[in-house]
Amino acid sequence: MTPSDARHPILTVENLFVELSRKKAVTPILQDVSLSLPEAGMLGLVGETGSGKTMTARAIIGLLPPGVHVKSGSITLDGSELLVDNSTAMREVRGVQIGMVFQNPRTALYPMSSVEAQMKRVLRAHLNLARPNRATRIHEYLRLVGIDDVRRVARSYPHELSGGMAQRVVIATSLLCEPTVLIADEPTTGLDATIQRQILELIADLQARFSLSVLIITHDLGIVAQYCDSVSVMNEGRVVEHGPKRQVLKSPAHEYSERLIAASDLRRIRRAKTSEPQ
Amino acid sequence: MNAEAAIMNARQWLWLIAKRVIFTIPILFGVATATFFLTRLAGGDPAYQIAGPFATDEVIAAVQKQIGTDMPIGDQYAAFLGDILRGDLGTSIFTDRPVISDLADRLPATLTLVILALAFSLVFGLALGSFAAYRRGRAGDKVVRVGSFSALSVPDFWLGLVLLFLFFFRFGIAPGPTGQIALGATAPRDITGSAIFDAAITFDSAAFRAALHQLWLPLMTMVFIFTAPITRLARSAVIESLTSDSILFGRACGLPKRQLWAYATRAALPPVVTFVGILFSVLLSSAVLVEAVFSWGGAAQYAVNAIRQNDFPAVQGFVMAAGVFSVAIFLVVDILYRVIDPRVRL
Repeated sequence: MTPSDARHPILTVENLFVELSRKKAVTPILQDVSLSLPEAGMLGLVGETGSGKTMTARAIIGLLPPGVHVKSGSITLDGSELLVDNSTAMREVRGVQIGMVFQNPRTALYPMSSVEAQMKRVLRAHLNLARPNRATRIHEYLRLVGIDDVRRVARSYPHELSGGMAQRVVIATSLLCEPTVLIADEPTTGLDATIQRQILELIADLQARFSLSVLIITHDLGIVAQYCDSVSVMNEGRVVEHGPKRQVLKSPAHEYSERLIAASDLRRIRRAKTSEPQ
Repeated sequence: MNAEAAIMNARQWLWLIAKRVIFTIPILFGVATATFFLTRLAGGDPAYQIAGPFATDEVIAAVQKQIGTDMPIGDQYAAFLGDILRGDLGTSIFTDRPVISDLADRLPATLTLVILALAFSLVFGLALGSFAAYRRGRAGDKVVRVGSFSALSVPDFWLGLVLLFLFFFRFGIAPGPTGQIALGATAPRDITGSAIFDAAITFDSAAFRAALHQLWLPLMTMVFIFTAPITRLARSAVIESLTSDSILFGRACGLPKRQLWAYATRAALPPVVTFVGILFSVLLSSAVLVEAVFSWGGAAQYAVNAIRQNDFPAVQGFVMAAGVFSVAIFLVVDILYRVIDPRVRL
C-alpha cells in the first residue's frame, strides 16, 4: 500500500454491472467493475478500445447511452450513493461535483455559440452570480487553463479554435463550477502529439493546484507512468488489475496488463524512431 | 465587436447579396428561355381562340399579326427577350392589360398565402418535429409520425374541399370560397392587393377581421399539408443533434433540459431552413390548386386561366415572377443560414 492508495477515496465504484438490452437480447457491458479514486489523487483507467472504460465513466456521471443501463452495483461520491433514480439530483452532481472532459474537444463544444455564451449557460445553470461576475469568472477560468488572449478566445466560436485551445476551453468549462472530481475520457486522443503533452501538464497542474481528484481514461500507459498515482486495467468489461502505478507497471500480476505494457513499449520505440528525422 | 469589424462584416454581407443578385441574371435568362419554348411547345396559337371558332383565315391572320404569332419563332424569342430587358412582360392577350400590372394586382394575394403558410408550417413543423425527437419511440413520437405521414399523402385541393365542406357547409363557422374579402364585407383600402396586408398597414381593424375570416381556411389547408414534411425533417435533424458530442458535453456540465432542447433544436435549424427554401416553389404550385378551390383571385389562379387560354405572355410573366421570388427566397435562406450557423463563411 502506497500513501496515495491509503488516502480516503472520494469516488468509489463497487461491483458495477452494466448491460445493453435491445429487444430481448441482453449483452453485458461491464461486469463486476470496482474502482476507487483517492481524494486529490490521479487514477488511470487503461485498456484497449471497447474494454468498457468510457462506459464506466458514463455510468458514474449517469449518462449511459440509450438502451444501456446499470443492472446492479454501487457508485458513491464522497459517501453518498449516485445510483439513485433521480435525474434532478444527478444534474446537480454533473458540473458541480463531477466535471467531465471528452475525447474530441472540437465536437464537445456547442458549434453555434461563442465560447463565452456557452460557458455562461453552464454558470447560470448552477450558480447564482450577477452578470458582470459571470464574465469575470469565465475570463478567470480561461486564464487558469493557460489561455493568454482571453478576450479573443471568449468571443470565438469553437470552429475558430485549434484542437488544443478547444480542449483548454472544455477543461475550463468543466471546472467552472468547481467540481472536486474530474473525469477525463481520453483527453488527448484527438490532439497533435505536441499539444497532448501540454494538455496533460495542464491537467496535472490543475489537479495539484486545486487538489482535484482526477480519473483519467487512456490507452496510453506512458500517461499513466508519468502522471497517475494508481492504475486500474480493464479488459472485456472487467477490471483485471488494480494497484499503485509502480507495482502494476513493474510487475503486472495479470497477463493482459503485461501484454498492454509490452504493446505500449513497442509503440513508444516506434514513435521515437519516426520523430527522429524531424 | 469594434467599428472596424462591423464595417468588414457589413461589407461581407453586401458582397454576398451582390453576388447572389449577379447570379440571378443567368438563372432568370434560363427561366425565360425555358418558359418561352415550353409555352410554344405546348402547341396552339392564341389567335384561334381570340378570333373564335367561326373566324375566316383572313381574320385569324390579322389577329396573328396583331399579337405577333405570325413571326418566325426566333424573332418572337428575340422580341420577348428585348421586352424583358425593358421590364415589359408583354400584354395579356385576354385581359388586354400589361401582364406586369395584372401580376402586380394578383401576386400579393398569392404571396400572402404562400409566405404565411411557409411561416406557420416552419413554426409548427419545428415544434412538432423536436417534440417527436424528444419523445423518440414513445407514444407522442408515434402520433406525430403517423400524423405527418398521413398529412403527406393528402392532396391539397381535396383537403381544401373537405375543410370547406366541414367548416363552411356543415359547421358554418368559415366563409364560403368567396376570395380575399367576402361580398358586402368592409374591404380595406386597396394598396398592395393583399387584403390582410392592406388592412394591417392601414390599421383598419374591421377590414382586418374580415380578411382574416376569409384567410384562415385556405391558409389552414396549406399549413396542414406543408407542416408534415417539415416535421419529418425536423424530427430527424433534432434526433441527430441530440446524439451529438456537444449535447453530451452539455449534459455532463449539468445544463438544464430546456437548454439542451434549445441547443438541439437550434443545431437542427440549418437543414430545416434550407428545406423551407426549396418548399417555396412547391408551395407556389400548391397555391394554384388552393386558390382555385377558394376563388382566391391571386396570381396562381391567373396563371391557370392563362394556360387554359394559351395566353403566352401571361404564362411567361407568371413563371418569370415565380422565378424572381424563388431566387429571392433562396437569398433569404442563405442569409438566415449564415445568421444561424457561425461555421458557414460569408
